[in-house]
Amino acid sequence: MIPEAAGTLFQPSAPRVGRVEATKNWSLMEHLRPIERCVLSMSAEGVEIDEIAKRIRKTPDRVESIIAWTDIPRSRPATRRSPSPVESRVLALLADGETHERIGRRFRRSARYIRQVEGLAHYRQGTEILSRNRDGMD
Amino acid sequence: MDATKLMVWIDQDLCTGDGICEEIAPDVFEARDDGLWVVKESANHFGTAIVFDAGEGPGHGPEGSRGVARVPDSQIEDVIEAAEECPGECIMIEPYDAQIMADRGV
Repeated sequence: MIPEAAGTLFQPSAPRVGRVEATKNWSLMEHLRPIERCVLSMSAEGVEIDEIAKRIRKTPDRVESIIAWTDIPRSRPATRRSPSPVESRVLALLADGETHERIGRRFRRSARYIRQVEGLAHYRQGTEILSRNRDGMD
Repeated sequence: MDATKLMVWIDQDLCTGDGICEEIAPDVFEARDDGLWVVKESANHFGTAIVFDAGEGPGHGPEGSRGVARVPDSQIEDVIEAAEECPGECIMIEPYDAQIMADRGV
């Protein structure tokens, strides 16, 4: 659906953003999410938008949006100790009896990727518990 | 009332109904009865609650590209994360535009 009411800055119909300047100060990118740093990094290396999209399994339009969104000022760093909503959702679906393959199809990812997400979620759960216990002992 | 620099809307034609957006930003996204997700403006951010679900009456607004909700500045990180994680790539983020706000009809 083409948005007749919407603006243009972050829309797929907007002109394609150019390659991210290789001179960007990466130390200032720490507030960004891993996928944002990954996309910016690939773009700065000269990887084409279509190729980035293929690598991260998003559409080229979404890759351009992700690059555009990195310019939006954030008020806090994207650090996380507990499982992210996606990780929680994967764990919940697995607990409901869904298979990695079926979840992968829903999320447009491979079953291997879902297993990685599951592993990371368990890791985060573990560090969260350890951290809580440590805080409780202080 | 919260400050806002961004607006967000959902293309329900692309929504896969996974609900990750609401898990990430429950103040901005809400499930509709048909299993698709819509955007909303919460009363705790904007004084009045509006759900852009194409429902009738006060408290409801249009869906799709005309159902544009303001994003509280405090929710920017969460809304961007929701858009990036959305399997359907259906969450559209735009800079705030007073004219589009006026055209919403709510």
